[in-house]
Amino acid sequence: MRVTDRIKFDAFKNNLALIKSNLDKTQNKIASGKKILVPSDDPVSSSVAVGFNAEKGLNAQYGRNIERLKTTGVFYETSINSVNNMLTRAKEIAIVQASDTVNAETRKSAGEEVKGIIERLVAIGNTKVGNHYIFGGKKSNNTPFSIDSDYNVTFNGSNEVSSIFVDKGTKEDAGISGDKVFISDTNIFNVLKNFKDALETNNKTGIRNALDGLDKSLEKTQTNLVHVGTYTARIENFIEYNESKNNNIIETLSQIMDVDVAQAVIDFNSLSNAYEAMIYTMTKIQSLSVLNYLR
Amino acid sequence: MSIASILNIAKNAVSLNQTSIQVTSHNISNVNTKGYSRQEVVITEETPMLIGNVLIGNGAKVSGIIRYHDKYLDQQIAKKSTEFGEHQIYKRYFERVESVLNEDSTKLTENITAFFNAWQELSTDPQNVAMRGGLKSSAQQMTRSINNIYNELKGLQIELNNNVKMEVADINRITASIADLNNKVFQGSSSSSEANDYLDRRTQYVKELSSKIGIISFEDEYGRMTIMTSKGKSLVDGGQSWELGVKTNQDTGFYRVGWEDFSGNFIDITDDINSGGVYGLLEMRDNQINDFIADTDKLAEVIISEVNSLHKNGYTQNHNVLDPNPDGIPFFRELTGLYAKDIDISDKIKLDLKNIASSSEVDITGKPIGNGIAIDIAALMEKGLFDGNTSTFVDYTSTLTNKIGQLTKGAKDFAQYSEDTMNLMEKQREGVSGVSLDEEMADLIKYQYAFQAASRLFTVADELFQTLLGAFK
Repeated sequence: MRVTDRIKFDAFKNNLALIKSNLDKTQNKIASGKKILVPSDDPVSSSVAVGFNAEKGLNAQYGRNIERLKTTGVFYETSINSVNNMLTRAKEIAIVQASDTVNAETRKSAGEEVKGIIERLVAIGNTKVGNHYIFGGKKSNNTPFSIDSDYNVTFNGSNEVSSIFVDKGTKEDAGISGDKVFISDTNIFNVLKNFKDALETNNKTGIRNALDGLDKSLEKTQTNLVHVGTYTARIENFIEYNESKNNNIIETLSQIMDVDVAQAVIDFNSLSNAYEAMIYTMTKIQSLSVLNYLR
Repeated sequence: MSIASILNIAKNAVSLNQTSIQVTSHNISNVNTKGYSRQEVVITEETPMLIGNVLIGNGAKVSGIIRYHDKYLDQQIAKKSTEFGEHQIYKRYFERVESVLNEDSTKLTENITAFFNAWQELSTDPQNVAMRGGLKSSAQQMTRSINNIYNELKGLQIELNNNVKMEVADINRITASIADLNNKVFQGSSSSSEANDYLDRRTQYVKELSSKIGIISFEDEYGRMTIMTSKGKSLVDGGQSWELGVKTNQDTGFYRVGWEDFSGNFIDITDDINSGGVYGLLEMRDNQINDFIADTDKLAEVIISEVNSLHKNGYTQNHNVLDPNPDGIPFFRELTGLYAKDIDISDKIKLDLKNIASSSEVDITGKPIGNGIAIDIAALMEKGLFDGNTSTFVDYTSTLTNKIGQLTKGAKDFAQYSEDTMNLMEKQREGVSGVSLDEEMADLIKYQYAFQAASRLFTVADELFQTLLGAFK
């Protein structure tokens, strides 16, 4: 084939442009740390990466949701523990006051202590985390328990609790309703109110009956403690699962998108060499001309 | 046979070699001229003289200047450049669309995820004002990223449209030039150096024209190039050229391409254009980009309709406790078309964060309780809402990424392929028509020596005359 000057120059130009564009690409990869810069570099992987990135964002939200459950979970645990302690104290009082040797005066002062217990329990029932009443159920913005001068306690919250997502398609109760802890099955406040009334009226049968109610209340509270225990354990599991899922996503994303830096640097070096060799060849080719031999 | 005829031969030889040197220098000076075909002086023997009954040679003469070219190759290159021009357009514009849709810059999927995450956040504390504010701003961020995609795609469409007009003007310039060159070729003597240069330029123009629009071309008996569109509308015939024009279509607002006959009638040929750069522009403008706008519209429409239908069933913080019915407030502006262009949160939400409904129920006092709506809207993220209820939002946007990725990759590969083929053919052409300085140098030396020898003839003839004249002194 006839090789003209233009063919030589064009070949040089085209090859130089090719090497330069490859150099540029490799440089961008090293700088960004990514092997896929635009979808057309690898359409399938980049669309998979879009999915995984969304998954990562979603999973982070589930993580925040679970953290929130964990924070309130601690409050439920301490609150119900306090309820247990209060009831145990009330039971102690009941055992002592049920005996025949106790007089009306002592019972009256014991009644004062029970009043204090009721007030304390109402305060526990109205525990607030942020602007959120933890025993309000779905009505978490209203004070769930109110008490009148006769120590009648009413529950204004909702029997149901909201649920929030902890994973794809998995919801978890956002807490425990005050109804479940204080009211349903055995109404702790009614038991204590009757107990207080019996103490104030020196009613021994009433005190005996209250002892019965307190036993039931304690039994129920124990069950709730177990419930809250499994609830927090479940949340711990969610946290673990959420974290491992997050790690998997990051790992996968890195495999899809991240550049093998060592490999990229090697590529860069070999391209630089090619570039230099190219220029060197050009200077040599240029000197191959009849013109050099003409005077 | 006379001494005078020696002088005559010498004179011809000198001028002939001079011409050759001139053509060689023409070649040298055009070593880098695009589309130039190297030329060579064709030297033939002069008609011999009959003296007695012997034929005696009578020197040489220039019988023409030829240009080295391969007509078949030139045609192939012109044809290939139609494909080349079209694919360059696809490459350029798909890369632009790709950058418009690239998740790295749009953050579309990220913003959609953030929007639904904000609903989850609200579900953990349904009446919280700060979280409502967060939801509002993430909703606006999402709608803005959708608006941006729409605006940029639309901008590309407008740019393509303007390019159609410019290309048409360019086509008219080229066809006029070809007609002009046809005239010059017709008038000039066919084998002069000048005519060769006209032919080179015409070949270049035909190639340039071919890259813009698919054409049929052939030479008539006088060497003039006749050019028609691929559907047979005359563009150049002899020294005459026909103009193309554009007219705005009232429905789309975009240009239609037409062919103007001699009475200036506009005949729409837009749908007849089926190859070349102009076809590439039309295809991108009318099909590809519209397709992506439709995809973005679909996305916006689903977001608006799904979120609104749930939100309207919810109870807001401004709920009237005496009214047992949901508040019916839309979260997004309700649209009937141009979803991607106009998607935005509704005026009521803009006005008052309390108009966000997070609850699906009210208590006995009529106050909204729970997080029912927030959780239901958050759940949309995982719901199959596209492609016959099988694809989620993320499936949809990642499919979009795949689609533009594949199209751009295909366009880049094809453009590279046709560029390589073009380069190869240009190289072949260069092998036939290109100037090699080494060759020209050798020629230069050759003609220089021949010139010197011819000049020597004068001296010899002169001496012969001198001798003769001296004999009669």
